[in-house]
Amino acid sequence: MGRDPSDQEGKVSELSFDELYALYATDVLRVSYYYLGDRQRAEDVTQDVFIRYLQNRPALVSGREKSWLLKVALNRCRDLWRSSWLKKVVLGHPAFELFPADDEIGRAADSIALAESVSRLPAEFKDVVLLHYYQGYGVSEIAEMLGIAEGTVSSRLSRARGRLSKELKGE
Amino acid sequence: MDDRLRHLPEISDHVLSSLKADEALKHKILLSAASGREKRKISFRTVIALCCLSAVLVVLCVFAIGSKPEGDIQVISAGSRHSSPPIRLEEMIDEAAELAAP
Repeated sequence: MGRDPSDQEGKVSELSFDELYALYATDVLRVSYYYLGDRQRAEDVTQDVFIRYLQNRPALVSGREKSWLLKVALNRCRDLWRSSWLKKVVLGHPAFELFPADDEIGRAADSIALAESVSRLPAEFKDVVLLHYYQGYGVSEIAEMLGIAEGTVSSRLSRARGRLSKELKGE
Repeated sequence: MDDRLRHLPEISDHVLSSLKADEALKHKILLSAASGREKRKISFRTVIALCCLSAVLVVLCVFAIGSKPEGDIQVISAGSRHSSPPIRLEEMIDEAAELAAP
């Protein structure tokens, strides 16, 4: 699932901006939303990511377009998260508002609880959980994207699972 | 927990199903990118103009230093120090010519 549809190693991507946006913008927006817990800021991050793409026109490798977009988005989210103003004023107690479609309201409460718990994880756990379980990337791909060792990714995933398990059992 | 987390994509699709990157956001991105490029062009031109101006100033300074005004020749002798008026090459030639004349 982590791999993008047209996976061809080493070949430069031929996807246009419109295609990239149609394929991956919602994923970028939702990952940013999970991270920040604020819709407006998640939209700002998505905007920043695609503006950066348009202005720099990086030579993306075919099949790895989404990983580039998510990497830039997570970096931006991390910057925002670290900003003390945002932590104190907006994200001190992030209220993870849900946006279910009308026909999805009332769906299993434990699904909602899990989504909320993921959004409350500390930043370093949240990005590995989102990339692994939500976006389907493998440990080595996540290590490459985040610039950390594979062992660190595995350890963070394990600790994140422990925290989630503890939190969800406590509810 | 691992099993539950494996369902995160479906769970997210359910709980965030109305959170989508729409055409309005795309339009905003295109507008911002276009205005950003324009801003960058202006700033690049400004940098070039500043570089040219600096180069001109450097050349002017070099010329100003090269063409020093005539100054007094300091003659320092034992026990006293005085300034003599500038000695011109023409005057020296004239004096030499007078001395050489019979």
